[in-house]
Amino acid sequence: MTEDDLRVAHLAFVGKLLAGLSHENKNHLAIINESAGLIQDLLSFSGKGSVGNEKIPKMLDLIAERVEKANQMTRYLSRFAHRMDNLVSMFSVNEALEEEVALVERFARQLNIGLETSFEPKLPTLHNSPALLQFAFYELLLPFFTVLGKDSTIVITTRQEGAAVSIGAVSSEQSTIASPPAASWPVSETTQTAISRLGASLLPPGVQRGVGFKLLVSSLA
Amino acid sequence: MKKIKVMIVDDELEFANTLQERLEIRGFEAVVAGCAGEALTLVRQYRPNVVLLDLKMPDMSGIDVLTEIKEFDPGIEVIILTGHGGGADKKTGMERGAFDYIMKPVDIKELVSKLHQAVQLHVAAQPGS
Repeated sequence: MTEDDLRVAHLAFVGKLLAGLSHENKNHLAIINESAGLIQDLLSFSGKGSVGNEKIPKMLDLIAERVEKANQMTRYLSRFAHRMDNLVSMFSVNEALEEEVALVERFARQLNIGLETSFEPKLPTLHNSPALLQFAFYELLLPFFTVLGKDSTIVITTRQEGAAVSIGAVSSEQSTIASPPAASWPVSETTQTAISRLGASLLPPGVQRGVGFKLLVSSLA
Repeated sequence: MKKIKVMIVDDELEFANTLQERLEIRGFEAVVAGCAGEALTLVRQYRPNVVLLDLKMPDMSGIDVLTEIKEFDPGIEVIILTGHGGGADKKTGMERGAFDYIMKPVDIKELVSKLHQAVQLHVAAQPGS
């Protein structure tokens, strides 16, 4: 067994555990949702409403709102976990990025950095490694967080370019900066290897403040 | 007016019992089966109009339960109600005759609407209707 084979098996194992965890979470959320719903029902159908305790409907609304948010995150987690089922598969770049943005948004928020998306709706599906693409994108995005100042915003875009899909990440400062500052940094060897395995290309070959990066990826031959 | 009979099949009893109560409040008649074996016994005794079926149960897969229910009586509509994320199970479930596939947690209004749709489909399929 090669090191690669072992890594693939390991990734599949992590994915399986994550998928199981997200399934369990949905069951817990379903119970919270139904229990809150039943309280609401009992108040509504009793004919008395929440007379005497007006806070109850507000609290129930808050529970419902949080259940919906947690459910959305769990759906993303489940999809993310299943990316690891197969090394290569057909997938939508927009969906892969949508869930990744949702999952890394917390890291950005801790640095007061906003994430926005602007995805082209009808992109070709790709036959490639979605898990590796997510990893490469994460490895490119994270340095961006580190160098951007607080209150910055990163806009993540997708566009069709022939048979390929370009994934862009630019800071919102880009439009106001005539010439990019000198601050730039090389892409790690790990990221370069991931990009190479995807058969993708990175333009420009590094991440620069005020410019960002563009990753061009297509289906594997 | 005759009540719509619903059988909830789920090993998460806290979920199933709460949902049962919410459906009863809304005028449905509902029973709970806590495992696949109990569901296959109860479906013969209770003769529900609609089954709400979880996919992941310890004694048997929901897809196998769906197949047996449909073999017993194709007129019983089955709605898969699960936390398991779509994909192959959704495709298989729909191919084996499920009326719909709904993810937990579910909005009660959406579920009630699906139950009515399922029953209407069954009524429409009756000879002479």
